[in-house]
Amino acid sequence: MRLLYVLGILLFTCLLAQKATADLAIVVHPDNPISSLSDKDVQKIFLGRLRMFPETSMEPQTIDLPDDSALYSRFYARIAQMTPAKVRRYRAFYLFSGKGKVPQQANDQTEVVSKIRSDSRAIGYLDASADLAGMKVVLILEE
Amino acid sequence: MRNTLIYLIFITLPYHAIAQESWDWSGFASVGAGKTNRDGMNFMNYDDHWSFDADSVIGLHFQGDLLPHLSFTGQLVAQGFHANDTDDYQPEVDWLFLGYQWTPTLRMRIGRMRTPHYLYSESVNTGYSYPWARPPTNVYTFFLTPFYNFDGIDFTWNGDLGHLELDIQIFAGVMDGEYDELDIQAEPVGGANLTLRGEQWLLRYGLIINDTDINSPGWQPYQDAFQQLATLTGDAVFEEAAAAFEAENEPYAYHALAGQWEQGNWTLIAEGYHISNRGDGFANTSKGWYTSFIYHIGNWSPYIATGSYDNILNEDAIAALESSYATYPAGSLGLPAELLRTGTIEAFKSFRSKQRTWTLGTRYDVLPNTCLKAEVEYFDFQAGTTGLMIPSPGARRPGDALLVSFVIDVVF
Repeated sequence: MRLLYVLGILLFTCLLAQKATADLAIVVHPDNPISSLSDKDVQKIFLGRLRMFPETSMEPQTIDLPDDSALYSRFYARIAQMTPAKVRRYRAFYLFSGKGKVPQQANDQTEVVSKIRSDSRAIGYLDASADLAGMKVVLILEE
Repeated sequence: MRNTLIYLIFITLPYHAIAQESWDWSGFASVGAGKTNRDGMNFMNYDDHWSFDADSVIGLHFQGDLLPHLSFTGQLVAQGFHANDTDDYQPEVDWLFLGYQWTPTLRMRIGRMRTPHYLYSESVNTGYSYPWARPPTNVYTFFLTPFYNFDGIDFTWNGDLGHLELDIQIFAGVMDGEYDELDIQAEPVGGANLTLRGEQWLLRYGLIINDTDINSPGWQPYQDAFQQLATLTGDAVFEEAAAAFEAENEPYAYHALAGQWEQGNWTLIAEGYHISNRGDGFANTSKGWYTSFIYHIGNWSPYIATGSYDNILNEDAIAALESSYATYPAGSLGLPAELLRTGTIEAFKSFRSKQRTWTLGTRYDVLPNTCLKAEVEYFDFQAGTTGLMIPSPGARRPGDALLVSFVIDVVF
């Protein structure tokens, strides 16, 4: 019985360790007509290669966290297999070769939430465990 | 003529844009220093003394939305080196265009844009965007200076092909400029780029075709002299020589192929091009390539690159004039005509440029928006030329040379 108890604790600890980083939620304004996005859609929107939300005529306003934040690293690693340094080089190339705009930067997740809630074109990424009220979740990126 | 479109955009822009609160301003700058190891051998604005006037550049970039789906973009650039040796650090409008997003995947731009010759042509002034001190000059050649930007229109489409992405860019417009005392105009210009992307790789093919006019006031007397010789002798060889001094609506074709592959910490980039004239006049045949391996370890990105460059001017006219010795042996044409013939052969041959290069360097990302680069490039000059280095008058012509460069790149 005691052995089962110890094994149970070990198993629980392993599961906890596995989920040490929470999933990422891709969020938009509640009035945005889209109901879901694919991983590929999100990748292309944040890299500037899809310039309207699918099947709409609405141009996305991407919201980024600071590039030294852990969530920024996790997001771009998960969505585009890119390190922050690689994203920076890509963005310099993209912006200065006239291809389009780069994301607006928010200082932290609280500011992301406020930008998403106030701009019907905004799209951002948040820790899925955050308070997502007042926003529409269009994709959960499991980690 | 070429600037009419740009003036129109300038005039209409502020009227709509002044009220906009959301202009986005950004910029880039590079400070570069370098020197060659050979007395009298010049590369860009580098010689055998340290100079800051080759890789140094500053650019201001602005863009904003005018209406839903309609935006504007502009970029002013001042750079230390121009291949036509004028206007150093004079600000120039590199980009000024209106962009319209027709559908999620189709975008149109109209105005002044950088000509998309190669993979990094559109960001060639933004050192931060690429690994090297400068994009390899075996491909990013100086004689394209008059063609760095064009005024016209382009359409870009991006779509999915299964798991792959395909970008198609089609453009048309006009280009003009000066290079080495030549006035060059290309009108019309048309081109297309196809880029196929996988998760970790891309392949790109580019084609540009244009009708080119090239002339130089200094060359007119020689052209007239060959024309007279052709009239006197009735020989088509001298007609061909006269034609080689000028291009008038000459059909040039530019082909470019590029590949990029990323695997773990490694990046492999390779590009090649071929330019040729399919007409009878002034003919510049050029080809070049490079391959580069970059290894990313922490903030360091050491790299190696190798490539070659081969540029031949009026190859057919040189061959025709040399073959004319069979009909008109040396001295048989009289002294002035003989000097004209031998002088022209030598002059055309002097524009030959052939080299192989090896480059070793590293990039170090010192801050999120700043990187340092240090690079040594070895030039192996071939075919009796000095490759892309230009010898000072009377300088001894060595068989090889080294160029050392240090560059700081910033984006802001």
